Amino acid sequence: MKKLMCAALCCAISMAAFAAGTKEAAGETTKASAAPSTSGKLFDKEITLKVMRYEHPSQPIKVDSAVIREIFNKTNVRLEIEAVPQANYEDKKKILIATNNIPDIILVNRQNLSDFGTSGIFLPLKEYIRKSAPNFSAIMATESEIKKLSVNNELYGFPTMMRYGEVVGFGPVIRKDLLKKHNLAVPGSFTELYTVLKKLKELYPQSYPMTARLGTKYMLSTLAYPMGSGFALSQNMGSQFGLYFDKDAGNKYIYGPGTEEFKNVITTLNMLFKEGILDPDYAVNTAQQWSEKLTSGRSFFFYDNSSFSISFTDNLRKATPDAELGVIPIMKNSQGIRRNFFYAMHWWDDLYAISSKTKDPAAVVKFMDYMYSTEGADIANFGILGEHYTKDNGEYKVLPSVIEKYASATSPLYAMYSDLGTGLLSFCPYEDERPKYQQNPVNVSLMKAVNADPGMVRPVLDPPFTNEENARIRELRNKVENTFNMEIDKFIMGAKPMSEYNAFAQKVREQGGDELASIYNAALERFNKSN
Amino acid sequence: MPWKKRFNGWNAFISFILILLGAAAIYPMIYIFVISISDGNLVMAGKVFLYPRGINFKAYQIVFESPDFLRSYANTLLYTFTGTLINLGATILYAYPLSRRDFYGRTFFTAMIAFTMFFSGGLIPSYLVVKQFGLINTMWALIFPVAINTWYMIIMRTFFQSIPDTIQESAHIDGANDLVILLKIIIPLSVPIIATMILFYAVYHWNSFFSALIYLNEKKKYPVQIILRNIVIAGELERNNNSVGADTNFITVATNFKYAVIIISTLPILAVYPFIQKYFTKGVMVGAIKG
Repeated sequence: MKKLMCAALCCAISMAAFAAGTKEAAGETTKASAAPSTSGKLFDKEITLKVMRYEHPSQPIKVDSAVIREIFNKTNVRLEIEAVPQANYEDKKKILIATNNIPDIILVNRQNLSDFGTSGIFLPLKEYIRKSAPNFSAIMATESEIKKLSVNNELYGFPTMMRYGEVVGFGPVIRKDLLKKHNLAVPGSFTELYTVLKKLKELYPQSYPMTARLGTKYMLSTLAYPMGSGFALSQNMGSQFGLYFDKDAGNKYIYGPGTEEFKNVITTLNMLFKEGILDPDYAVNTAQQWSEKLTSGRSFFFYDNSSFSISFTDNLRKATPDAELGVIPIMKNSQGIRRNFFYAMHWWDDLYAISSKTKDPAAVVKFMDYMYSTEGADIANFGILGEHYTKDNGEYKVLPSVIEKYASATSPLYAMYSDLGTGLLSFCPYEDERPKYQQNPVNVSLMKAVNADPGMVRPVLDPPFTNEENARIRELRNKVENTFNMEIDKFIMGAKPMSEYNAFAQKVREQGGDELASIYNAALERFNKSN
Repeated sequence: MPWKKRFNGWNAFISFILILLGAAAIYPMIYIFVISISDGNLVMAGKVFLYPRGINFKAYQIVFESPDFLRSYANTLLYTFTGTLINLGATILYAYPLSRRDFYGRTFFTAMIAFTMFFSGGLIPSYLVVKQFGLINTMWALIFPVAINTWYMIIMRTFFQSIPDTIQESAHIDGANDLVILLKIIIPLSVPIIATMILFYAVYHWNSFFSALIYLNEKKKYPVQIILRNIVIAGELERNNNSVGADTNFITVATNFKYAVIIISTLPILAVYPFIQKYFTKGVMVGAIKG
């Protein structure tokens, strides 16, 4: 009898456990977007929206910053930002997407949209934008690349865009003080560069005049295009595995490593390596080691993000007062062309997608559109008018008292951004660089110099692909990347003679390089025809 | 002891080898500590080996200045304490009945929990289950799904089995029911195994960051490991933000800073360990010998 009671009790408990489950109460409230606002704010009724984005450790996101309060005052939207540490953002985002539990607004990248766009998790935006997003529609009219973000002819994310600002790109940066000291002319072409670096090596035998960071492919992505071929590592430049867009060869995508021009690039690198001009650790330098070599005088030249020249020069001057690592104009390549990619103007991989389960989609789109309006973008970039900044005749100025407040922090600019809640790393789809420029005037002169260089080229976005094309690209890309990764360093370091390069080029082209280029070109043509 | 202590060449040689091995084992920890209190520039130049140079606590200062840090430290202490308590309670309550031969559903419950040791639904079903129970964004999501670790439970069961039946039977004759036997006889006799389990579970909770990452949505609930991991890895993420990454205003994460972070996150466990160690004389091996 006792055993039976025992068993019955156990069953009852298990049943209760299995039956426990919460049901969401489905409340029907009138939508805030339905009636036009009469209170002067964007919405008459209060709405709460949850936003999820990553957080950089330099700029912790506050839950009750000035920007959030001001947004509430102006729009009646209570913004709840869920900030996930950047190091862990990918994992969390993937889980939430896979279980369809995303918040109202979530920061995603282009790959997420292309993988999950058609699955119905994200709100399709085109129709909503047409009806209730005048500001964003105006931006779409001026920036045609936005159309390339569409998946199956439907837009699923609002890209983070630059309202005011300039970008730089990879650029040649050299020790100008050493050139002056040894009476060497500033190199105007890659052949001259080789002569100059060789001379520097003779003068400083312990040095490795040229260095690179973040691996071989990254180094190739900076050098190949200016030198006449190309090797893209990001969707903004062509692809993530070596395809690149060439405006000088017919406005089409080419698989770099399979071409003769690329062979020349590798031959040059091999020569630089053999003669001790290229740092033998080029393939394994971390960003820290790379900056260490340049700031301690062991290397004199790099081809990378030219904004580093400023901080490196400051560092060098601690030991050598007149040192100068400065950017020089784009150099001529063997075909006589000067060319170099800018970075992308806008953040095409930081898109705000809206959950399809959100209670009032039209309101969310209207709110996102507000963030692209002058008033909304002003708040998200500068704060509260009069309290944090002034705007006289279109001239934006952050108040000196505000800048003063954060002057003693380790990083005054980001301390200000964090406290106010402004800036790219907070909730700011339409970014304005002026707060940054106000505190860093030196950067502005570099920007101007780079932007004035006629060799700089704006990159183009990848065209949109169909699901089949995406699958095929993934397949081919794995094969091609594996082969490439295994062999390329052998050629640069001389472990394999350049005479075998042609066979290698043939192999990667057959394994998928050619087919990838044709897929990209076909997709581009299809996109051009329909737009 | 049958052996006499002798000092001869052979012993000296063995001692020498052991000292070398001990030094090799402890040097990395000393190195990390030394770097964390040394001057950043000397560290970058590679000049710090055995002893700290340019002693300053700037790295620790930066970490403690981080606003969320102290709160997340408190969170971790809370989760570890509550979690370990619940873990112990659940494990003991599950292990004791399984150790009694007269328990009716013994095979069934053993099989049920052993099954979970080999098979698991995976990440997404777990997330959905936790969501269904309404535990998302609460601290219970970190505690209940992992309340019983099968392996530790089996160790504990084996230990309980080694307590002689006669004691339990005599208590029963004196009028004690099962609960009283458990509380007044079994647990006092099981101090070694309980101490071991406390350490295992506490370390698990202290280090757990992935479940906190996916189940918690608010920064004020994050444990310290998430914040610290972000600080340590931050330097490697600069490449992804092209225009922002070269920003000279970013706080560059120097090596000594990372090491300060490591020290902060392991210090409590290191501090507690020596005190629990005295219980270990019988602790871990205890489940191995029956009867």
